[in-house]
Amino acid sequence: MSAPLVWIFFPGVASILLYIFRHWERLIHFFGILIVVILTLLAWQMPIDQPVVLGIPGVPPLLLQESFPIFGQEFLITAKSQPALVFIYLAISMWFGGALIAGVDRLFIPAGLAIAALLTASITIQPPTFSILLVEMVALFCVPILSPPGKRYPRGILRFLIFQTLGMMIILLADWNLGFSFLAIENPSSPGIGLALLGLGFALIMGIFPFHSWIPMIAEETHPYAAAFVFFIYPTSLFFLLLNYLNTYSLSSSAQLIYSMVSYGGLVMTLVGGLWALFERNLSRILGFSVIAEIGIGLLAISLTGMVPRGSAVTGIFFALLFPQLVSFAVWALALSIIASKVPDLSYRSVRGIAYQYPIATAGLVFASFSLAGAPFLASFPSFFALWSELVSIIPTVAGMALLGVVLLFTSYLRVAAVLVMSPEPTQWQISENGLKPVLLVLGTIAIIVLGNAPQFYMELLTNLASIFISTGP
Amino acid sequence: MDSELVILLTAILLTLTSLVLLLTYDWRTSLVLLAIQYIGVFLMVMNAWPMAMSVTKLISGWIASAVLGMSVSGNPEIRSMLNINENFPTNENENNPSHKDRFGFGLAFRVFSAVLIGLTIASRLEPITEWLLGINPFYTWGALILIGLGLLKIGLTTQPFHVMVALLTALAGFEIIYAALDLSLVGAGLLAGINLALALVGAYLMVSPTMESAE
Repeated sequence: MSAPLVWIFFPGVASILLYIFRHWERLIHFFGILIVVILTLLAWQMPIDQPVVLGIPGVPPLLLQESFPIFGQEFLITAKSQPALVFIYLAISMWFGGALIAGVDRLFIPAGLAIAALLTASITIQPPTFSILLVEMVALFCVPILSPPGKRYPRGILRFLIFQTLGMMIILLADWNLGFSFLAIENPSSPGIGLALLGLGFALIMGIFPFHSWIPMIAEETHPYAAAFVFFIYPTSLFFLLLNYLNTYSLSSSAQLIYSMVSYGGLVMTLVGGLWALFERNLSRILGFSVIAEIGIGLLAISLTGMVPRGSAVTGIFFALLFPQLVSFAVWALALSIIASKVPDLSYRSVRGIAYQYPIATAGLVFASFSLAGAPFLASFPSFFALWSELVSIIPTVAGMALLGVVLLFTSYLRVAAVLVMSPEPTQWQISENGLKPVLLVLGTIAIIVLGNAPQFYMELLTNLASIFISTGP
Repeated sequence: MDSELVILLTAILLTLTSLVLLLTYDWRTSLVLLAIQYIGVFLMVMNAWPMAMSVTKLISGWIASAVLGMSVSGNPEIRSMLNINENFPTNENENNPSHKDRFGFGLAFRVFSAVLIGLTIASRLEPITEWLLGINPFYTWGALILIGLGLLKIGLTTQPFHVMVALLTALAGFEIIYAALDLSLVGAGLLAGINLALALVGAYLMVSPTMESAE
């Protein structure tokens, strides 16, 4: 048996089966969580390309092969790529864990499992030219999550599809041109057009300003938990794709230009996200602008990988951001889902003073948002501290302006906290959250605090992910 | 028949289908044109790919058209919505049946925009053909006109049906270009899969508001 069968084809088939049995909502949630937890444990413990003796008499040792050939290409999962699989399936299992409580549609689990399979396929396909096609498939599977049956589709979803499809076409063309430009031995041509196309393609698919409008539109009209899931998983898959491209062209003469473009893209996104969030008066749209700013921060961290020596610990900062972001987004989304189910809409007018009825959800939301802005002692702080320290020493102007964006974002979160506790009339405090919701929120909030104060337990594991996506030598 | 002549005739066919697709908002006509357009895509791609691989473009395109067609024909609500909007399908007037394009300004605007796109492509055809390693200029024209007019149509409507038809048109144009640059089976298979998935997503977006969330 080969490893890609386990982490790509098995979850793919399981997603089809779960879709068939979608009428049994609790059952598909249970099996969905079970499958992703098993796949996480397998990715963590199962050796690849080494025989595993099962200890059952008559049963031969199990050997997971690295490669699965398909029409002249192959899916390749090596022992080195296992931490990435652990991260992908752990992230999916965390989102699945809160899905039933958050009240998302039953298509969330089958579509989420298919997304996990496609995301794994996109980072393991060799050569990686066709990764972008698999990422486009991920985008298409996001649609039933963002637009569940029985509701009119969100306005931004068509724009999302259009930008993703156009971006895919442009990136494929850019990839062909760059490969041709860099590999042509006799008459190498300038890679300028290819680089410009690659930049445009990524701007379209990542929602980089001015192609960002679909993010707040979708955030406003979609279930907060479903939106946050897509806003975390999809940009993560795009970041992995971008890292693949950067790794391919990092040794070219244009490498510095490419990394500068990435850092300026990150700067623009951080500023736009922070500024728009500050003037926004709707909690779900603020989630959207926060996503824009987080994409910007991710781009800034990725730009660092090309500005420091290969193999340096700094290249791991981007990966160190991922897990705190995952926990913070999940807690924020769950808290927002609880609040959204109690008010007609998530405008400031509707949620004013809601902290008195839903103090745990409010606390979760405030802690999670502050964590995403890198507030001290919260989950993102250690990686933010490392990021800004390096950015200030390498590209101080960009760092200064990007920090301004983060300050604006933090100010908008302060404003949100003030609105949530600002009751128009004297009100008694009471805990109205019931069932498992407060338990999950409290656990999530504790996780945010622990991750911020004990980074030594997970930081090395995350920064090691850099070795999968960033080669240390030519 | 001479392959140059086939490319020329196919480029004319693709220009006509994409132009009429831009001008019409009748769903039946759009689907028939889309199906004919995929015959053109097949004939174009046959110049770069073996016959067996080229057929995937035709089959996936026809299945995509059929998926969109079935979702509309099987749902009276979608049909009535498309019929209301067919006369003046702009964002502002999409849900206003009383607003008709009485003076034909909408049609004139679309024709004028299509002519502008055609002129732009014609003026840049030589450098683009050169950039694409010297593939036949009519081949490039056929691909670029699909992309150009497909993108124009995307900008003129917000109806999932028409957006998907336009997106499939633009994607078909890109596939013609990409077929000349890449011969891999996986690429062909994945692009065919994306065609089908786009059509399915379009059908889902049209049908999902009428589906029950608890099924």
